[in-house]
Amino acid sequence: MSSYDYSIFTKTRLAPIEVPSLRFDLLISAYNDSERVTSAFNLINAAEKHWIVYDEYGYTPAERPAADCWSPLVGESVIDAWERFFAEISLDPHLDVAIDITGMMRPHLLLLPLMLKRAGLARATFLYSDPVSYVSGPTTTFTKGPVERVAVVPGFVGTHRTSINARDCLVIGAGYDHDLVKAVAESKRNSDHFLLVGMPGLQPHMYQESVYRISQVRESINDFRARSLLFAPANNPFMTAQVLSDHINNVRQKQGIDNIYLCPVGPKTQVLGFAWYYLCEAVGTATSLIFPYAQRYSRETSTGLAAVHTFELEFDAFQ
Amino acid sequence: MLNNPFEVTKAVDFTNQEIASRFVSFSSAEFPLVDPRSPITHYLVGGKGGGRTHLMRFYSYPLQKARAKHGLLAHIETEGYIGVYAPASGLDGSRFEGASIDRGAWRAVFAQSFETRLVMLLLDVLSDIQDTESPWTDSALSNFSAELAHLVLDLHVEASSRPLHAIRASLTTMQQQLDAAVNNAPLTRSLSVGIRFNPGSLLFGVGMLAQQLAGLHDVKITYMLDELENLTESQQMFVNTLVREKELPTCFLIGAREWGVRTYQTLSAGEENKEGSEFRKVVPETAYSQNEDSYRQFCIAMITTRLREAGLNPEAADDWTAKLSVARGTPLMDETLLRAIGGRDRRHLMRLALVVEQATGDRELANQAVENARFDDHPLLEKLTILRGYQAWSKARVFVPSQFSSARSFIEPLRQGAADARLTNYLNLWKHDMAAQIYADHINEQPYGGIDTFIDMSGHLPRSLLVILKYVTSRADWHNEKPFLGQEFIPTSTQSAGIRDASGWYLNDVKPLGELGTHCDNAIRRLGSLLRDVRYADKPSEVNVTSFSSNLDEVDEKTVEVLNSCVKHRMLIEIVGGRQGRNQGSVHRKYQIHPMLAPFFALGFGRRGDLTLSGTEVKALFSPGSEESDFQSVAKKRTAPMRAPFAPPSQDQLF
Repeated sequence: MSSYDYSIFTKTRLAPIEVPSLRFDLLISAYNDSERVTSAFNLINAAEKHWIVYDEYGYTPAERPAADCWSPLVGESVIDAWERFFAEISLDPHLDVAIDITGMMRPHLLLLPLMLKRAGLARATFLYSDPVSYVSGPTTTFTKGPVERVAVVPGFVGTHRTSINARDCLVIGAGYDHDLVKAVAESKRNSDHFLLVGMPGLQPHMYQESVYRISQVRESINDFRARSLLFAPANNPFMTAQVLSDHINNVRQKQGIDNIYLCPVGPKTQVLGFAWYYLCEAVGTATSLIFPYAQRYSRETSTGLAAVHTFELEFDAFQ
Repeated sequence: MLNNPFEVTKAVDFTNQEIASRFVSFSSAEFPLVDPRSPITHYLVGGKGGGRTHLMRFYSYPLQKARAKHGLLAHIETEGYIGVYAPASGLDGSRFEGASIDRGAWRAVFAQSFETRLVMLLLDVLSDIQDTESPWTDSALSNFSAELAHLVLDLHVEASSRPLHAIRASLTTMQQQLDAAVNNAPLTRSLSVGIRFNPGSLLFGVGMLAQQLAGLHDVKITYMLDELENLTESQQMFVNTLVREKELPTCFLIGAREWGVRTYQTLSAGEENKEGSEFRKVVPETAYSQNEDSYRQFCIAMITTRLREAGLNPEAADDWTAKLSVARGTPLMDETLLRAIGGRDRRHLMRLALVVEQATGDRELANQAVENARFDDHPLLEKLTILRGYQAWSKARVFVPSQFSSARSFIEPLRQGAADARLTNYLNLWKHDMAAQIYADHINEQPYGGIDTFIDMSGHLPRSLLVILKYVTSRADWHNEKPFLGQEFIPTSTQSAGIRDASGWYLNDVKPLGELGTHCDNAIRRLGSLLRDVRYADKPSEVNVTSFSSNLDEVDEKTVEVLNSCVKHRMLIEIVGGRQGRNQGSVHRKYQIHPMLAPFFALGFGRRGDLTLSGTEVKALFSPGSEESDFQSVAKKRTAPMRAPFAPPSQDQLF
């Protein structure tokens, strides 16, 4: 039994032609070359718009967008970066804020709901755009540079049980980057491993492609078999949170699992779902988020804009 | 239907019971490879899949308990130690950094957390012994707990009829407070943690207290710290300090991948722990390689044990490796090579005609050379004749027709079964390379098979052997070849395909994380490509080339770092003792491409010939800054003398 019902949160799906009907006071989006990112930024109505340009994409000054843009500093922690950004744009917590997470770095996205709440916001609209397809089909990688290390996500670390018979469980939100899955799985070799995959995927072919990629690192996944896979719709963070909630309650109660590690390396909507689950249910428990940090990410990984999803996050859902 | 006995290839996927039932000892020693009772710290290091975790778990307390048939404490007394298994991944070492907090503060807090955690694990063991057979009096346990409490500043322990549980609960509370402070530090930007004991005082103190409990007087307490690679350099320095300052009965057995030992430095005035003095390093692969017969027996025993555990009857399990047999064939491999060529034109004869005509402009001479080389029923003799002719041509640097007539005369006795020792040696030297060329020339994959090949290919990594068996038997299963039923052989084609799968897996699996991984991957692909080009050249400079040697002259540090990382991650094997330089008499460093990677590049498994590379050539292969064009240029220059016509076309030929 889940202790939390994530169906109370609101989401909508808009066709590209409907996107101009979206209106906000403030729009924040992470810049990359994907058509779905730039199109959404241009189509959405907002009184104030900001690009965030990440160093990890490797843009030169000449390649940055002409519009107002802001960047985290090299070596700056994610928490420091968000606090500085909100201060520099004088974020008014009463504004109707929308954030397009499509091009956002995952570690930054993981912390965003928490940092928005700490900045005083009661709610915000998160946006995610579906591509028509990825550039290289099943061989697409989002991580351009190699994984440098697997580490806990600051702010998302629990107090774990120490015991000679403690059992750990790792749930990896998997997408196309099988090297990330491998790096994470090998960093927690003494855990039961589960993989949460997007089903249905963002597009019909994407589920098969991601499962094919995962199969290439099956030797790194403990006891890899059909039961290792969990499924949640790739474009629905609330369902991702629900599936996590149900699964974790189940393994804690029925399998005697003590310590839970979560690692989302799949679609950004899934990443948001992991963060949302953690904030709503896992704070103060023996649960931590971990992440394989890389130096570089691909700028352009998809073609076209198929749809825009909106997710209403209400920050009173967590403490 | 029998579950695939090779499906599980990692110790972490086994229960304690499965670890015990599948354990195979490498030697007849009570404790093979490392003695957990040893007062000197052992670092059990090696490549991925060397059996480290299986061994450490076999030595750990839960398995000791399972082995205790006549009293738990009595068994522990007999074995002489308590094994406390503690994988470092559970510490989440990355929590102890950042948040604009001083590194010294993090180090102090990590030390508190680390020791507390180990002591909690020991208390779990002691509690379990007490719960199992109550060997200690309440009074003894109360004294133990009271004295333990004195080791920690301001540790409040509730009065309890179960003193071990009470002190454990107090330490748990202390640990949780510390964890909360550490975990909140990134948000609060402060680290409010009181230091409650001096480094080492709790861990070594509790060991001495445990010795006072009945039955533990002569028992070592061995902390088995596995996965050391999960700790940062600074955190490993603290572990090294504990190793240096350790006080009996506390002992350490440390497990790590070879690349994961970041430092031997300590915090004791910058002293470094020295091998042979503060610790001993044990590399399972080295131990296995020093006794090949024992390693083979170990591998066979491991296979047989798994098959029996999976339900195969003992007789079938013992005979199972015979299913991997490959047809031996005749010495000249006529049947298999003719099958490989099929109805196609013989590419080696076509090429011979082409290069002779290129060199001489005379088609008649080309046809003569081909006729000299032709042995219709013996393709291997054709290849050997051509090789012999190419060798003479290369030496003379000009084509002379007699080179191929002489070559025929030299090889002909093989057909007649009248080869002398010199010719037999020539056959044995070049047979496998020439056969490999025939397969490659006629669009055939190299055939690999047989249990001995699998064992050789594993490179002394037992897990790699299991992965090979898993891929081979899985493929056989898909083809309905019933890998675990009956006595039919698993076809060589299935074995070869499984081996190539395993080789591809290995290449992806062993490379390091990060940018270094990319450099190592590039370097190994370049090396494999160069070795393959040499092996498949008209006149290979070396027999069965899988190695290279170099004096590493003028090789920069970054290149050496990539080279050493390839060794540490078992993409390369460094040959102890190196090789004597051919000219200067200096000793060169010598490296072999890991045998798990050989099929990926269509190489052999032995280590017969090695390529001598200059420092510049090594840089082209291994330098992170080397462009693909640099490598291509070096590879082309290197292999050009091995390609007929062995001289520019403009050079005058005798005919």
